[in-house]
Parts: sequence; C-alpha cells; structure tokens
Amino acid sequence: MIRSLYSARTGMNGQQMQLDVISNNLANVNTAGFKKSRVQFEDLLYQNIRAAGTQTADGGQVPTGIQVGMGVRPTSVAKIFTQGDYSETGNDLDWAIEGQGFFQIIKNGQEYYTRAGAFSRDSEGYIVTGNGDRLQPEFAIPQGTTTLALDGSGNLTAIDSQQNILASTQITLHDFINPAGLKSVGENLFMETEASGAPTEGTPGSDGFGTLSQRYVETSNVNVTEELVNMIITQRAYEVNSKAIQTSDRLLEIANGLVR
Amino acid sequence: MFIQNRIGLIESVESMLNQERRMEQSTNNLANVNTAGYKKENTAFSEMLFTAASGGQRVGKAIKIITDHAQGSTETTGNPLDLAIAGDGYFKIQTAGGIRYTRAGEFTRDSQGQLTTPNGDPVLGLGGPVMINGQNFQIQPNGEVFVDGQLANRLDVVTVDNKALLEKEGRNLYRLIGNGQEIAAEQATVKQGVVEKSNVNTVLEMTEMISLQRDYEAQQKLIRTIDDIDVEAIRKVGSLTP
Repeated sequence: MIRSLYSARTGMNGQQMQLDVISNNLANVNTAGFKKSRVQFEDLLYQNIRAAGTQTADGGQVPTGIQVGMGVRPTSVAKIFTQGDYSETGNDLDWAIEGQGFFQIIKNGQEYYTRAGAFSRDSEGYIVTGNGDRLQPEFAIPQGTTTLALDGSGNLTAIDSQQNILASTQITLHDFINPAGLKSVGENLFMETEASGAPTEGTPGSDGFGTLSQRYVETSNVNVTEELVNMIITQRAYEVNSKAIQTSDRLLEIANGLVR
Repeated sequence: MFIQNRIGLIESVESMLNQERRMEQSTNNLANVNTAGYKKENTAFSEMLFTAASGGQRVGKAIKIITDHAQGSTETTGNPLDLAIAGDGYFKIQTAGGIRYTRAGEFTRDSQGQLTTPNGDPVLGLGGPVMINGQNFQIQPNGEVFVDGQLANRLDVVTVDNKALLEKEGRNLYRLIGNGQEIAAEQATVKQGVVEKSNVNTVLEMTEMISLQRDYEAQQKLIRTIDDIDVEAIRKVGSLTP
C-alpha cells in the first residue's frame, strides 16, 4: 500500500514535469527559431515478489510471476527539431534556414548556435543577434549600403544606390549529428555538448545543409492545438494519480479500522 | 467452529493483502498512463490448493499478474526518430546487461550517429547497431533503414514464443527469462514518425480501484465479524452466570 502511494507520487511528479515543458512550449509559440521539447517517460524498477518459472512446493511451476512496478520517471526532455513555419517580414536581415543547419554566434568568447535568423546591425555595422552577439564569420555592412542581397546558398552582397558592390561574403551554416543533444542556454541559443557531437561547417544548399531565404523568419515549431491536447491529457493523468493516492489512503483507513 | 473461524480469518487477511497488491498494480498502471510503449498489468485471482506443513489442505485464493500485450494507441509526432511497431514485435536493444526488448520507440541519436534509447543503449539491426550518419533517413515498414538514399541496415524486429516469459525490467525494457525463445516477427511493421502510447485505460483502472476498495472493506468487515463471534464466545463460555 505504501508502495502504491509512492508510485502514484512518481506519476504526479512526472505529469507536473510534462506540464512545465508544455507551458514553456506554449510560452515560446511566437519565438523565432524556437524548437519544442517533449518529455519522455519510462517505467521504474520492478520488484519481483514471485518470479515466473520458479518451482512451487508441490513440484509445479509458477506460470506467471508477481512483479510490482514502482511507478514512472521522466527519462529525458528531448528537443524536436522539426521545421517551423516561415513568416515573411520584409526585413533584409531576417534569414530563415530551409532545412538542416544552425547559424554560429560568438558570445563572450564562446561559440553558440541558433536557428533564429532575425538579425540586426550594431553601431559598427556588424550583423548581430537581437542581444548584440556577432554572427560568425563576422561581417560589417559598409556605410552607404542601400540593398543587402542574400541568395539561397549564402552569398551576401552589399550594394549601394549606384548598384556598385561594396562588399560580399559567404554565410556558412553548422550542423550536428545529433541536434537533439544540444544544450539550450536560453536567448534562442544552443551549445555544443558531448551528446550532440562536434559541429560540421558547410555552405547552405550543399552537403545536406538547408538553403537560406532572405526576408523570412522561421517561426517556432510549436503547434498550439497539439500542446493544448497534451495539456488536457496531462491534467487528467495528474488527476487519476491523485485518485490513486486517495484510494490508497482510504484502504489504509479501512485497515486501521480493524483494531477497535 | 473455532477452527472454521481461524480459516476465515486467514482467508480474509489474505484477501486484504491481495487487494493491496491489486491497488499497487493499478497505481503503477496509472503512473505510466503517458509512458510510451507501456503495457498494463492485469490482476487475476484463481483458486489454489495450499498445503500446510502439518499435512492439512485448504483451498485459498492466489493472485496472478498478467501483462496485457495489446497494442496501444498511436500518436503521430512527425519526429523521424520516433518509431512504432504495428503488430506483434519488439525492437532489440543492446544493454550492459545483455539483449533487451522494447516497444517504446522514442529513440534518439548519440554523438556517433548511433540510434539509441533515451538511456543511450543502442538499437540493434540485423547488421549490428543502427548507425544514422546522414542528414536524411527513412525507415521502411519492413525495418530497412535508408540513410541519404542508401540502404544502411535493417532493424531487427523480433517477437517471442511465450509472452509469459517476457519479464519487465523497468526503463521500458523487457528481458527474456527461462527457456523463452526469440522468433521472427512476421506480423510486425515499423512506422516512422509515430509513437505507441501506453495501453492503460484510465476508466478501467478507476473502476478497478472502486471495486478493490469495496472488496477490501468487505474483508475488513468479515474480520471484525469473526472477532465479534470470538468475543461473544469468550464472554458466554467463560461466564458462570449466563
């Protein structure tokens, strides 16, 4: 009985974590380049009260054993790197990646990766993220640029009002064998980990890297309907687990009623 | 009369303990209502001949726990690393403790590109652990893994001859015990981008909890009644003036 109280508690804890993740997904429904997460569960250890296949006292064999499970545990919160939708913004510095890949950013000397291609320029003309961290390789937009053109394979050209090319560069993308292993550090940034593997650099549109589209941003891949349905399921699962605690409590009460 | 009372008492206590076990099963099922690939456990009672050390025999109640291997509902996630098996079959997993089986197909990749469970144990194919070192990969219903258009491996989907010998180990894994044999899974197809949910039915578990609570209560009443009879007997037999 005490076991069932604990198992139900693990159930409630797990559902609570699920709700935390759903809430974070919903909170970021309008965050450019955001990738939703999902909690994965696994059952906990089983206690063997009587093992199957063992001999009984009269020489028979136990056909099915008695195993009591100890509840549930969240194994991992996995990022789902499916493609988000695109929304047209008309801004020259909004770049969406169609396919695989991440932009590389350097922040305080440390490399980070992002799919949120909503850039701006700083006082020196460098292309930076919303938080002022420079896109790698660094590129300063020269004075007098009127048009900034980016093609699908990452060639960025700055053109002035007389159609002269002032500067150009090649934008590169980075990819990982296991993007789900990247660590989210907030501010739409991801960090390389041992689980993600080392980044490989490449040109957009080749070697499996996605192409770039200028004047678009990738919206989050959160599907509100899906999250709301998951929220209902989570709430009900939380509820049934609390009922299991109530019933266990009631059984204990009845057992206590044995002694008058 | 006295002996019968004692047997009634033993049986009621046994029943109460069995209802507690039923409660534990229900709770575990409910805790795993959102666990991918989880198979619920049902409790069943049967009559069993108990032989006491003194040679006396008695028919009592024995509990049996049966894992219900019915297919769970599926949810389409669109995540290419989510695999579900339709029909009778299991993925083979290489763990430190040996080969394990699972239907929980929420897989991931490690830094080498190996397809693994969320705990990092590799998923086995016919040609060893499944490696996905490419940007695009498809898994065919027959388990063939295509990486960037090339056939790379084939998922080793198997089943067992006797499901009763498939023991739950936790972490969504099963191990084969006794003389259980692995056999080819002919009815199984693999679906990519789909997760098999748990087959727990909350309505059934709730009614199970209501029913077991009442059974528990009834047994408690029985014990108290037997106690009342004993009290009565002691009082009446022991008193000199009726």
